Amino acid sequence: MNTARAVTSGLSLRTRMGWLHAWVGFVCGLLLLCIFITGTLAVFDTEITRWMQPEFTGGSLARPSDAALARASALVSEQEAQHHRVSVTLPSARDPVLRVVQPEGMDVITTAIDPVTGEVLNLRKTVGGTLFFRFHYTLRMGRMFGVVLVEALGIGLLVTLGSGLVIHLRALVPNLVMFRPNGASPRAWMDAHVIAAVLFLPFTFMVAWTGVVIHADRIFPFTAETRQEGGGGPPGRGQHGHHRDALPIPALGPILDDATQLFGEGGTGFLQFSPRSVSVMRSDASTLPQTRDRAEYDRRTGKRLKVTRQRSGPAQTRQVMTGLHMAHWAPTPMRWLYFLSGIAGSVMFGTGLVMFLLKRRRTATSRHFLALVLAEGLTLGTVIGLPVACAAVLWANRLVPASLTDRMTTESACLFLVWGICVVHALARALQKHVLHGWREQAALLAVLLCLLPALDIATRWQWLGQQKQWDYLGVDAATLMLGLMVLRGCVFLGRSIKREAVK
Amino acid sequence: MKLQMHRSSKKDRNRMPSQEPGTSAPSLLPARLLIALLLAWPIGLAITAAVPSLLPASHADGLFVAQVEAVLIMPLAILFLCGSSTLSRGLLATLAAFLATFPLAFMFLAFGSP
Repeated sequence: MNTARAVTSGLSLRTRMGWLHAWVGFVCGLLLLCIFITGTLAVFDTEITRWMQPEFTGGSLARPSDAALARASALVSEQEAQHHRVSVTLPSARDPVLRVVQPEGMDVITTAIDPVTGEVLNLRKTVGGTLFFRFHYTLRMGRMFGVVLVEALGIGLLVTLGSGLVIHLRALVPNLVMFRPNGASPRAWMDAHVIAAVLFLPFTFMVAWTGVVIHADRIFPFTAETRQEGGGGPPGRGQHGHHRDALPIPALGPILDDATQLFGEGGTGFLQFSPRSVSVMRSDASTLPQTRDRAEYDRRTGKRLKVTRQRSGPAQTRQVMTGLHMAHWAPTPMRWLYFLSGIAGSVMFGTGLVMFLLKRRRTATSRHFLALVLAEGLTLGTVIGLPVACAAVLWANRLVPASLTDRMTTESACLFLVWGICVVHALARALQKHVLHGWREQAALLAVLLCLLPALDIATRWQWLGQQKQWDYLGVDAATLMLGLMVLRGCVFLGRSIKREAVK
Repeated sequence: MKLQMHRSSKKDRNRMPSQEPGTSAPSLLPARLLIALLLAWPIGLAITAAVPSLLPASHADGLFVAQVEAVLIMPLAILFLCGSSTLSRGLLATLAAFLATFPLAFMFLAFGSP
């Protein structure tokens, strides 16, 4: 015991931090990579939903007409009669339609209404970008267990960032300008890892910290309960209850006009319904702080009951932190910056996982063979397998018939089915000791899926092409094409590595 | 000799953590990490329970400040416990960080008290 203690205290700080960084980074990194990839996609969740509903042609940013609001009211009443929680999102620059939104398990069912004519738009049912958004913070494991797990992983990320900073602190500046892609195997990975981590450190730290703080109530439930009792919790919570005795919905037009006067033009975001009141929430897109200011109206008379605004120092800090993480306020260029930072974060995790394996592969004995196979298979199945599965969802969206009744289930099942196949393939390749071949095969599949996606988009959207604004479709297509070409480049690089290994 | 020293320091700068002597023998580090993981959540919980009652703010605001601090202290505690040369030093550093959250809490009110 004393000898062991002497050995531990004899290690340098960097060595101890290196061990912590490697193991916490690897164990948490596999799932953190999934969180980062889906979070990166969730930055453009609305645009992805639009891409996944290619029939959409109309939309208007103007205040919804009375006919459209009456149609939304009718749909809300129908859903309330079936004891469903419903909300209505108002037209915005990113999504210029009125949507009746109903959470259904881990998915969201939306009915789009033309804000001018009030007609229900005949759009295909899709999981849309919400699939990635919800996966990002629940891992599809439920709003309790999933969120708590993501919170724990967030703490793990902060530990990994802290230990990484200690390891690289001495050479932080030289590392920033040193990238040797043609260097010896671990060196090139190391350079890529350090550059991605150090350049985007403020972003990575910000998203980790704010992400954990947003759902901190879940990891400190005993202390959070008192906040809910005190009424200081996020607005809207605990107001839904049962809609069995809900009063009829009053005319929404005057309510919306009054709320627009309060929050300004374009400042209204969505409507929530409780049995006794209708609340109009301030738009998250209107300011950086996600204030969730709300105006509450009597459901019997339609008169305003109260306006809730939280303006204390800590409340404003919370709103800023939430806004920074969610990026609902961000204009398109800033969203692209978030997207790029998310990709850099994913590169940091991917290269870190690969380095962990490279080091262990050299020293692994036959006793550790199965553990190494499992680690290599899971790493490949996550680093390449999950992006393949995400791309497969987009393909399934366009290839599965629009009239299929279980479209949403099919799309979300496609994510896990394809991901599962990729993991099994990766494990099999690792077991055969041909994991590098596995990397090349999955990377080639990913490159094909991404590079051909624009062609699929045009082929399946042909009939509506002339009546649509193209920016959202172009954005998704261009991003997938660029990523596809980058993966293709990586594929060629892997091919050369395999040839070099064969010569040896 | 000077040149040699310069070379060795440059080498050291580019050296990866695993290449450092002693990496292969972390011995008690897994046990240290386990202790850190077991202590981290109770520390966070203690902060979220204690700090709101100290702040001259509404409970909701106090709880938010406490949560922000707890989320920072939890990973710090793990880093301190695993990074210190002995466990007792790690525990002392963690205790210091825990106690530091209380005076720090008041700084959040600089944004404007309710």
